[in-house]
Amino acid sequence: MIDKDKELIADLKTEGKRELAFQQLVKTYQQRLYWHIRKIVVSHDDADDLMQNVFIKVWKNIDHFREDSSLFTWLFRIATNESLSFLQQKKRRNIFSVDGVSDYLVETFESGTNFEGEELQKRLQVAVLKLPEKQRLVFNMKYYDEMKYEEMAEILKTSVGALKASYHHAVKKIEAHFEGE
Amino acid sequence: MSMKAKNEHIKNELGFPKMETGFTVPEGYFESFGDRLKVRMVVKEKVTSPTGILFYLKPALGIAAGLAIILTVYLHPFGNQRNALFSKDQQSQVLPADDQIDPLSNTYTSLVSDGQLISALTEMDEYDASKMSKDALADYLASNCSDSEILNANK
Repeated sequence: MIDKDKELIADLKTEGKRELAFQQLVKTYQQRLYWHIRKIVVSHDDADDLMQNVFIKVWKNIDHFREDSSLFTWLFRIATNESLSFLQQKKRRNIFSVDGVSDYLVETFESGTNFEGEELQKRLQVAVLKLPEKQRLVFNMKYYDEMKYEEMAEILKTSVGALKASYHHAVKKIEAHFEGE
Repeated sequence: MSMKAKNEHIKNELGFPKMETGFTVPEGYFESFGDRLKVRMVVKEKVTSPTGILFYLKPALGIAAGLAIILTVYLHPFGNQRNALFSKDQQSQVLPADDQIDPLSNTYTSLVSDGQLISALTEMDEYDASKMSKDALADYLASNCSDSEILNANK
């Protein structure tokens, strides 16, 4: 995968090969990026819009990609930042109150379409959406995406220890949520 | 860690086995995503790319418009009034008060040329009373002074 990515990056930076390489990049990463974004913003339409923004940013900035991290890490970092910025913008525009990001996400989830999970999946999703932002992000990446802590640490630019603590707190809160239902 | 062991681990943590989110996407979404992205990139490119000479002239036109506004305000009657007020203000700052005026200072003597000043002094000499004849003095007093001034002169 890493060798393939290196080849892809080289092609993306080469004038004649750029467009084909970009198509390949989209094909390779669109599903993983989409689900990552979707879990953060919940709405399909918002996730679709944000994923397009992510790929446009990649297209525009590929020449500045210094390859300090892997392509996968870089893409996920852009996607995470775009998604969190999107929620921050909504917060600034007073679409929901300062503490109401979770309420907004739960409402979006309950009123939205494109969900075919069972009752338990729905309950878990509501519990996850009620977590603080960082814990929600860490729980999604660990539980649903089964990402390694080391990878997460690179994407979120934080320590493995902090991530483990966040995940632990998230699990405890979800347990408490289920017990309190 | 095997899948079974992983599920067992999660089950121990949360009390239930590993689950998916349950989120779905519209049919054919990922198959058509690349094409839709391409369309959006083309549209975005058209919107942000330069559209003719006006695009390049835009900054210069903006500066020109700004300068025009500044000049209009400066040359407007209000601007002149402001200048007049300012110069008046300057005068009051430059000129001393009446009681501080030096009678010999150039402020007033400069209004009269040197030639005019000399001829005026010469004329004064001509009317020196001690050098005048009685008739000339009488003529001078008659033409320049009132009767009351003449009568009161010796009091």
